[in-house]
Amino acid sequence: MNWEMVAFAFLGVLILASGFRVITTPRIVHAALYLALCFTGVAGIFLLLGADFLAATQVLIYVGAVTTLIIFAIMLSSPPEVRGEPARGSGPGGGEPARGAGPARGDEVLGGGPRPEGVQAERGWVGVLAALAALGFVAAMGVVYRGAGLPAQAASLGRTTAPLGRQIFTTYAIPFEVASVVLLAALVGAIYLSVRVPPRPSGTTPVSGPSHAGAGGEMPGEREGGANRGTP
Amino acid sequence: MSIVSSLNALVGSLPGFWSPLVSALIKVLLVLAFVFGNEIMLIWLERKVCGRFQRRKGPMYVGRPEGWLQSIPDVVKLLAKEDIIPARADRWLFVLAPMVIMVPAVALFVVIPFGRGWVPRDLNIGILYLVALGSFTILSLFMAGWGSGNKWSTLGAMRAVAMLLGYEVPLALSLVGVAMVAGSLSLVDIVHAQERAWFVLLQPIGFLVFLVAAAAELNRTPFDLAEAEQELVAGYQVEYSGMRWAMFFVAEYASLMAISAIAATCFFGGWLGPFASGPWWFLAKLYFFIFLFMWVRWTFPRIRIDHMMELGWKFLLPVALLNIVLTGIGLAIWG
Repeated sequence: MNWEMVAFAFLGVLILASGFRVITTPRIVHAALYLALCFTGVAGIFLLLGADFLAATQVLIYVGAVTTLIIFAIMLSSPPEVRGEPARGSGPGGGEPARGAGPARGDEVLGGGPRPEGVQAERGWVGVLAALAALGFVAAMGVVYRGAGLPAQAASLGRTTAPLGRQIFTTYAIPFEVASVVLLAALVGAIYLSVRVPPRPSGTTPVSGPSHAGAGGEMPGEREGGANRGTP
Repeated sequence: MSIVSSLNALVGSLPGFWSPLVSALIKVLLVLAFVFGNEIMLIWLERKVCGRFQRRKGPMYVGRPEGWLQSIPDVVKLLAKEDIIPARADRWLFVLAPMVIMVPAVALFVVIPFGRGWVPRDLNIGILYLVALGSFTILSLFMAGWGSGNKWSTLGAMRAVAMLLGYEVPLALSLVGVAMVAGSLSLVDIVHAQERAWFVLLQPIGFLVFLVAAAAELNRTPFDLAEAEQELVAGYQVEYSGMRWAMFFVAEYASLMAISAIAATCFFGGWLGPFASGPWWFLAKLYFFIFLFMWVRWTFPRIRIDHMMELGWKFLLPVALLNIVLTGIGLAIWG
């Protein structure tokens, strides 16, 4: 019994439990946050294995970027619907026009309300398929990790940053470049999908790219708030 | 240094199972004492600076002269306040958010070298570690804003996420130039690399990008759109009161100190000085940057959200990339 073992057990339980909660929690926001917890736990495992560069990258990319993008996607959809809650009581003035028609749709999406028949019927098959896929994955992982000791021994690499950089720019230069081309294609695709040519008159800039997603999505809310506040 | 070595000897004499734990605990306590001790002074300093910029005196009565004890009764008051959790709040998120925000604010100090050999842990991924920790700030602000169950809070959280996402990238890229010149990500190595010239001279563009992006990361005016009292009441903090609110406040000042420490370490030579290098130089530079950020805060008005997003993505990001290219060319020629 040493600290590595204790930490490994703790992280293992944390990763498994949060991963389980990602798919079982009824609220999508909680799922995103559990996912962040799960990623953080994986970063901890990297640290235990002496791969500090990978750990920091894991946090930076997965907790920082991926989870944040998921959160963005959630927030750009209409919050009270996504919450899966009954409609919040309309405040004084009742000025929440955007939320009036919301709850029914939200319940359907999140399984809170009555479900269309087709979904009910298909569910069994989907479940079996998912279970088969999961079993296949577990089997594949079993083959890959056959003979690996748990917990694995920390590699005594010392400083990993410089060797990693050297490898990426020499031995693995082509895979690295291919990955960046794939990312660039994804970037261009995302911009193409998100650009909406507005029917508005000139003077307003078209909404494009991630930077404007935040600003653009926020405007209606602000206007709504301003209207609610009434005259000063 | 004798204190450090005797502490080391004491920790080393413990049984193997406990010594790493005890040494880590001692370092954590020292860092926390440093952070919170300075924090009390910072809150007072902010009020005095704010007061002077607005042609008034600021706190004067508790702790004469100049009211330097004012923060103590404030802490007592905050502790004594009622702890309110709104009925519509998402309880878990609401309670956890102030705790999560403390983590990056304090954990940033792990890699900061206070003086020669005075570093809690010299990680060889130093800069990457600093940048990665920023991710948790985004998460906690989102948890606070969303968990409050209030539309002002949600709007504030959305702004915070958009802003932090937009400014983390130029912040990280501005530090890439520093890492290139120093040839290392470790903050200790970066300070050693500045023995001939501070990096503010070698990386002036990077420094300016860092300064602007850091002000945005700190959520301080002119980039405090996530709080924006006049339009969003106080953004993600609306529903917080008492100690929970105080934790946001404490985390804000801890991040202010951490960012100032990073600026002092990466661009102004850390503990190095023109003469008598030591931790006092680091402290002086730290307080210079803290004052600079306060100065900016009480001088400039808040900018509009679309201007802010454009500044981040369309100006700072290309400039930071250009800085990397220029640094590369410079290194190829003179390096």
